[in-house]
Order: sequence, then structure tokens, then C-alpha cells
Amino acid sequence: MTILDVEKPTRKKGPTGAERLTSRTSIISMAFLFVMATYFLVPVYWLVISSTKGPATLYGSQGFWFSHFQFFSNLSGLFSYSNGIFVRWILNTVLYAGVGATVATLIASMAGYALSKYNFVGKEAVFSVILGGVLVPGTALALPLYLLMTKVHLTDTYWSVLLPAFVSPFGVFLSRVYAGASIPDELIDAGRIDGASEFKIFRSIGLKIMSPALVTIFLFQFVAIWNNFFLPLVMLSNQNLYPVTLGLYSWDNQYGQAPQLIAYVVIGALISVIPLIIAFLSLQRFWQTGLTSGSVKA
Amino acid sequence: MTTIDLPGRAGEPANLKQGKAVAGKERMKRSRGNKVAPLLFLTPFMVLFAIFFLLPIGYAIYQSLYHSQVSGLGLGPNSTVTKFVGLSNFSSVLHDHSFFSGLGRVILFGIVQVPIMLVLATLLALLLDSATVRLKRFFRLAFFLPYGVPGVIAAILWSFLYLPGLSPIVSVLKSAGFGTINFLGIHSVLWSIANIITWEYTGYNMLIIYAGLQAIPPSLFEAARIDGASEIMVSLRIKLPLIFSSIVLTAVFSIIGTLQLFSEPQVLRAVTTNISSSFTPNLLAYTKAFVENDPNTAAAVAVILALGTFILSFGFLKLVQRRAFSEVEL
Amino acid sequence: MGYQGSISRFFKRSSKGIALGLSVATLAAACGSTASSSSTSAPTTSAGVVHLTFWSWVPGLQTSVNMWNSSHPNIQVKLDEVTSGSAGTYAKMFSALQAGNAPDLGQVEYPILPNFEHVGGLVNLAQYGANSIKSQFVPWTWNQVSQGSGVYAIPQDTGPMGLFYRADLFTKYGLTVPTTWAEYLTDAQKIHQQNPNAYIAAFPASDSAWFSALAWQAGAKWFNTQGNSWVVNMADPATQQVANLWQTMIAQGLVKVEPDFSTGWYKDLSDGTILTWPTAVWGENTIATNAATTSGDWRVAAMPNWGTTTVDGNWGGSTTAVFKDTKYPAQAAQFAEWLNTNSGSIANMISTGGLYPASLAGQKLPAANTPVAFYGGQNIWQVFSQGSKAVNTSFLWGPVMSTTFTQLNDAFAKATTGSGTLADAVNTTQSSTISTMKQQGFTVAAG
Repeated sequence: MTILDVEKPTRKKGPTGAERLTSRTSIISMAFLFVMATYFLVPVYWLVISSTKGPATLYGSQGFWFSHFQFFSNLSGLFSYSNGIFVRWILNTVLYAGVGATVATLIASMAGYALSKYNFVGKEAVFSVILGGVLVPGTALALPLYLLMTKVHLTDTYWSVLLPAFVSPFGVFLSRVYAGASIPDELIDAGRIDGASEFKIFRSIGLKIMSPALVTIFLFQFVAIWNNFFLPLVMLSNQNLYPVTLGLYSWDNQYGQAPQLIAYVVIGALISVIPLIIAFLSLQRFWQTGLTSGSVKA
Repeated sequence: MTTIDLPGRAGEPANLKQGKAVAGKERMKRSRGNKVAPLLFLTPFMVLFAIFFLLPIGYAIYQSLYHSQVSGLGLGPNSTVTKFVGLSNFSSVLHDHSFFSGLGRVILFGIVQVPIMLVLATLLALLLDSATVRLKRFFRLAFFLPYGVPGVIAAILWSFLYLPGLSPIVSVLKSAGFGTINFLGIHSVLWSIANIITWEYTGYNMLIIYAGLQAIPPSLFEAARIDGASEIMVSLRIKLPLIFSSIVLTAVFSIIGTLQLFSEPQVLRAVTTNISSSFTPNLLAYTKAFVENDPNTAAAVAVILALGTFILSFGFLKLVQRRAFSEVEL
Repeated sequence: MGYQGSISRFFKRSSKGIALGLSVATLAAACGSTASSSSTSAPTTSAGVVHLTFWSWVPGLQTSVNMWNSSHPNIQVKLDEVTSGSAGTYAKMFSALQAGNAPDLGQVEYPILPNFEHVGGLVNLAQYGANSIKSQFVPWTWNQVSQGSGVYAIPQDTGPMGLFYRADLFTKYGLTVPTTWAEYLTDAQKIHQQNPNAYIAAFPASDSAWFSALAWQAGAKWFNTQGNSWVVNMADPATQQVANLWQTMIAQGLVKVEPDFSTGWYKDLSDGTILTWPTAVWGENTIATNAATTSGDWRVAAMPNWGTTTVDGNWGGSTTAVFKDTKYPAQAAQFAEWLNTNSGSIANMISTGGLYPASLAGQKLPAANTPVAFYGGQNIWQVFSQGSKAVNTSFLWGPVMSTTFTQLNDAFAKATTGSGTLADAVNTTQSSTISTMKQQGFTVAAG
């Protein structure tokens, strides 16, 4: 009930008389924001500038300005080095993060929905255990997981990185809270009276209403997998299976043998960030919504 | 009631009343729903959770109770056996000076860096939410951009910006009269890592808090504004208490992240000799397992670390929980 | 599941493995193919073609593997290019050995061999005729791959040491190339007097393997066995001598403390901040690729010495080992021997992998004897082939070398930031290594 009462998509905040502040406060705030923006953007700016340089000018020239512009030869070098393995790393990453986050979101939302909309014995115990999972450091799991994977001969395969990515305890937590707050029980009952199966109700009502939370879970899991370094580092030996982070890290460790690699690390870092930024910008509206419900409950 | 068209952020205001609303709903929950359905919904997650969370934890505990034992010269196939050693791996870790100095280091790091980052994140979120600021989209993107840079890449990036002789920052500071600043010295390197973490995660935390701010019904502070309260007063007296739980969430994640500190020091080890193999507990576990081939001691470190994280973050939650919920119910 | 299970399974499997291995070896011997580099009639199994997996990080090794695969259609080797051993591959090898699914063959550096031996991870290649090729290798390498009559790996490459120096800057500062370490110290002082921002070398506190090579050159003998116990002697007078020299130079600010193979260090090599690098033969490629602008400025001299007789140390180098999980130990052994004795394969490893072979014949190949333009046309290889002959043959590695190196790195890091000296660091590591070994159950005699 409560949800539908407040159907106000956006909050208009036109400056009213009371809101108008002394220009001094305003100037200080703007100045502070600009200083902070500079702090956050300077390294990115450096990355952009440096992506146009070759190994020699990278070391030898002023870091904050252009010198010997060779962005495009860096770019073609990046994509052709070692038979274009960088493209393969990007595709691997998209596979790990895309498939991993999609499956994780579905599984977590099913579990969160069940924990929110049904009563059964041991429900709270199950939820507490899952919540505990949020607090376990991922790196503490990687090592025993590696030894277990070795025993079933799964290390150094796509599965060794993909399967653990299917589990998102935070996603369960978020979808339970969101489902609890946004799916009216009456709607589910109505579905049951109409004779819909439990799964159909979940699919047609649950998933639909939970969609902002799903986008949030998806994005967070996507970023978590995209950023994950430790698990692939431990699991993978074969370069063809690397995600882009591990690939660039391996280049960063190899440039002693092949100095052009340092230029590829820089431009590769730049290229690898772009898809993530696009994903975030285009889905921003949804995921901010989903986030809110999680934070309030915690 | 007939439409389930829920645009934008319809759900949140309800959450603010959750303290009461949820309690009411739990009571309303139907038990007549199919008994098998929740089980089926939960099974895929629980199976994977058991395999990829519970099993490794169990295995780590199991491993931490064993140790390989060599006899004589240790040469030849029969000279090494694995023995049950009880808690002796734990006692050797707990007697290891380097474990405690690493632990002390991350705790010091957490005490300094987490509050700075969260104060910064809260401040930025409040400013972006206030009525007087322009260019909000630009700032939001600028602050959030670093989060899109994977940790390893961020550390590589900053390692360039720290190196004397290469770093434009060092040379700019030098020409500004600050002298040659050594970002990678024995005392400064920890704070250089803190800077990388702050750079990476402030924007992310800001967004969580900002989302919390967006969920506050304007009616709650418009009255105050009309009464002549300044924007600063509105922020401190009305908004801040309402987003307290968002800040708690970011704090818990930051505490977990701090105790797990690994990628950044690992990457910086390539450019400075001042990061030892036991610089953080996680680095110690990695060294034990992957450099020294001692998975048993590594497992003991991991178990202690997981336990410590659990106690700290849970303790923190308990500490602030009552307050968080009472504030939310304002 | 778990260690005990896998260990007991391992015992069962390995005894079977040895029985099978022996019969195959007999067969192989009957075919006369053991250790023969020209053999094309590999023994076939009932399955027909044998497939072997090989983990290595040597650049360009695929070419050598291709040569083998085309001449040995019945033994096909699949090369997995992995990250270098200490970057995680050893750990993966150890866990795979524990789980019983290690690859057939792997790249293993000399210091880590004893570690693999004491977990029972390696096949004794003496069963497959490895001892018959002993005379083809540099003597110290054979000492490090064998234990009594057992042979646990085939030596692949070595790292005899030499002194790389900036000839142009030596002229500029009026220095003579040092032949003793005392002269080296004097040169260091002269450089620093003339230019406080120039140093004779970097001291890589985080790379104690480099330090071990200098100690090796000084005549140190860190590890040894006596009956059934290990003798640990890391703080012997030879090592103290090396530690004291570098301590003096650190204290007087004559060397720059920084990690080697790092961005800053490459820069220092390029711009004349660092004038020398006492290093192994493979350092040739490191300088040429990362200080490309200094082409023609570098030369190589024999290592400065501690006494009157020429002695050399060794830094790096690795071996090809056969892991106990292989189903085809005879074929794997045959490949390991071929890889490191066949002249085509060695020539490829020299030219694309930048390796300096452990094979005596390999060191005479044209690829390892051509003057190098980057070094002003100097035939730098002569320095190293001389050095290789002078390497102290009795130096042995301990059983927990990776731990020892880690402990020494951490102790050096402390010493270079003001707490204690390098000699203290060596003493600390001596006792911490002994206590680690005792803790693991090794019998250790006082050094």
C-alpha cells in the first residue's frame, strides 16, 4: 500500500526565497567541488595524455602535456600485439562480467524474493548465513576455492572464474529488502486467485516491480567481476582466458622484455574503462533507485 | 492498486518507514502459498552459495588445522607427510610479529582513511543535493569516474604519478617549492596507498549516500526552508540524520575493504622496496600460500582475517544499529 | 579430499607410476632412443599418440616445441605459456601436485628444485638415462639438479655474472674498470664526489636473489647436507664480506636503494644516474630494451673479484622438470633432454628467449658468440663463457628457498631504512630460516 501512495518520480527543487544563500557560501561550495573534481580527474587526464605517447616520451616528456602524438599507432599496436590478444581479453571480460552478472542477478533475485514473500522454517537463519557471506572477504575465499577447483580439474578454465561470479549475497540482501518494500502482498494474492503458478507470479509481477533493484544488482556484480583481480590471478594460467585486468597486469610485469608494452598498458587501461562508464551512464537512472532501498535497511 | 507501473524511485519513501511497515508485513505474510515454491526459488542460490562460500570456508578451516611435516633432509618421495596439528598454525600466526604489524597497519589505515573518505563522500553528496550548486551532472560523473577504473589499473596509474623523476605531480610540487616529495618512502607509502583508495572509492560511496538523499521526501525539509533555515542547517539537522544508515552501509563496506587490502600494495611493491611481504594481513596470506608454498599457514591467516572482519563489521553494525533505525523513523 | 587423502592416493599412484615407468624405460632403452637428440622413432603407447603438457614462461619457446612436434609425431607437446614461477606459477604447480593433476613438464628455477623434491613432486630422470648426458652440461648445474645418483631436472640455462658499465661515463669521470671489489668501492666514491646525483649502482633491497649471486661469487656456501641433516651457513665470512661492502656504500650514499626491473630503475639506467650493474648474462637484453637510448655506451667486463683468483657467481637460470603426475614419464624425460641438448632448440632459446644455455655445446653456438652492436660491437659473450667456467660449483640451495628469499628481502628492507645493517639482516635470516626449517621438521645441524 505504502509504496503506491508516494508516486512522485522526481523531486523538483526550484530555488525558493528561503533557499537563496549568501553568494559567499555558494562560491566556497563551488570552489570546493572544483578542487575535488580536479583531484579525481587529474589521473584520468594523465591517462588520456599518456595514451598518445610512446614508451620513450612517456618517460622523457612533461607528463601533463602532449608530445609526439601517436595515439593511433598505439591503438593499432594494442589491438594487434600478440595476435590481437587484447581483443580476446576484452571479450573474455565481457563474457565473465556479462554472463556472470546476469546469472547472479537472476539467482539472487529469486532467492531474495523467496525470503521476502514466503514464510518457512529457518528463513531467518538462512538469511543470516547469507548476510554473513557479504562480510566474508573475497580474497579469503579465493585460495581454498582454488584448491577445491584443482581437485575437480576446473582450474584454468572459463568456469573457474565464471561459476564463483554467479553468487552475490549482497544481491540477495538487496532484492529481499526491495521486494519487501515494493511488492504488495495483495498483488501476489491476486495472482494466485487468478490461478497463476508461483513461478509465473514471480516472473510477471516480482521481476517487473523489482527491476530497479535488478539493474543495481547487475551493475554492482558486473563491476565487481570486472574489477576482480585476485580470483583470476589465482585460477588462470592460460593467457587466452585472462580478463583484461589480469592481462594488463601481466603486461605491466613484462615490459622489461618488451618496452612497447608500457604504452599498451596505458592505452589499454583507457580503453578498458570506457565500456564500464557507458554502462553506468546509460543505466544510472535505474540503479540509483535500487541502491536506496539497500542502504536504508542496513 | 490496479496499476503496477512504478516509475523512477517510487519505492524509497516507503523504506523510510520500514521500521514499522516491515514489521506489519511480516505478520501479514501468507503461509498458504505453495510450500515447495520458496524452496525452488532458493535452491539455485543456496547450492552455489554452499559450493562457493561455505565449502571454501570449511575447507580453509580444515586446512588450517593441518601442516606438512618433513623428516630428515626432506628429499625423496616419502619424506613429507601432512599431519593434524590442532591449533598450532593459529598460535604460530598469533605469535608472528609480522602478522601483528600488518594488522596494526591496516587498522591505523582504517582509522585514518575511512573517516576521511566518508566525510568527503558525505560532504560531496550533500553539496550535490543542495539547491545552490550548478553543474551537478558534470560533478557527479567526475567524482564517480575513478570507480570505473579497476583497482589494479588504478594502482598502476598512481604508481606512475608517485615515481620521482617520472611523476608530473612530483615535478609540479617541486617547482612550487615543496621540494622533492617522496611518496614511496617507508613512512609515506601507506598514505600513498590511502590516497589511491580514497581516489577510487570516494565517488562510489558518495553515490550511495547521494541515492539516500534523493529518497528523502522534500516535504521533510521544505517546511524548514520556508521557516528560514539555511541550507547548511537543513543539511546538518534534517538530511544528515536521515542518511545515517546509508553512511553506515558505506562504512561497513569500507571496513571490509580495508582489512582486505591487497591489490594496491601488491602493485606498488614493484616500484618501492618499502612494502614488505607482510605489509597487510592479506599480503601475508598471499605470500604464505603463493610464494612460500605454505597453504596451511595461509589458511590460518585467512580464517583469522575473516573472523576479524566479521567481528569488526558486525560489531560496528550492532553499535550503530539502534541509532540508525531510530533516526530512520524520524 | 584433503591432504591426507591426496597424499595416500599419491603414494599408491606413484608406486604404480614407477612400475609402469620402468617398463616403458626398458622399452625406450631397447629402441635406443633415450637421450638421443636425433631420434624420431619415439616409443608409441597403445593409445598411439602421446600428448604432453608443458608449463613454461620462456618467450619464444613455442618454436622449439614446434620443432619437436614435427620431428616426433607420436609425442605431441602442448606448451602452456604461464606467468613466471615466482609470480604464481610455482604455487599453482604445488597445488596441482597436491591434487594429483600437475602438468607433465614444467619450467623450474634452480633454487626452487629442492622445494619440489621434498614434496615428492619430481620424477627421477636417472631411470630414463639422464645420467648419460651429464657431461654435456656446465658442472655446477648438474650438481644442482642431482641428489646422489638421482637426477630431478634437466638444466636449461644459466646466468654467469659480469659487470655491465657505462664506458662513456667511466671516461668522463676518469675511472678505470674495477677488477676487485675494493676498486669498485673507490670508483663509487669518485663518481659520487664528482656528481652527487650519480651512483655506481642500485641496491635492490627487494631482490635478495641478486645478493645471493654476489655471495655465491664471494665463495659463500649457504646450504649443504651432512649425513641426514641440513647445514645452514648463510652468515659465513664470504657473505658478511659482501654485506659489509654494500652496507658501506649504502651508508655513504654511493648506491641508490631502489627495486630493480622497475620503471624508475630503467630510467636511471637510461639517464646515467646508475653507472654499473653487476648482473647475469641475460641482463644484456634488459639494458638493451629498456635503456635503448644508451646504445653504444655500455660495455661488459669480468666481475670484480675478492681475491686474486677469478671466481664467478651465477644469477638465475632454470631447468625442465618432469612432474610425478605424468602418465608418460619416459616420453616426458625424452622431451626434456631433447629440448636442452638439441642444437636447433638451443639456438632458438638463445635468440628468441634470451637464454644462455647450460649446455656446453650450446654456449659455442654462433647465436651466443656474435658481437652485439648495442655494446659497441663488443663480443660480450666471451666474458660470460669465461665466467661460466669459473662459477663456484659447490653452491647449493636450501629446501625452503622461497621463504628464505622472502625473509632476506624483508630484512634488507628494514636495514636500508635505517634499522640495522645488511650484515644484521643476513644474521636474522640465518636464524629465521633455520627456525622455519625446524618447524617443518627438517633436521638442521648448526652451521
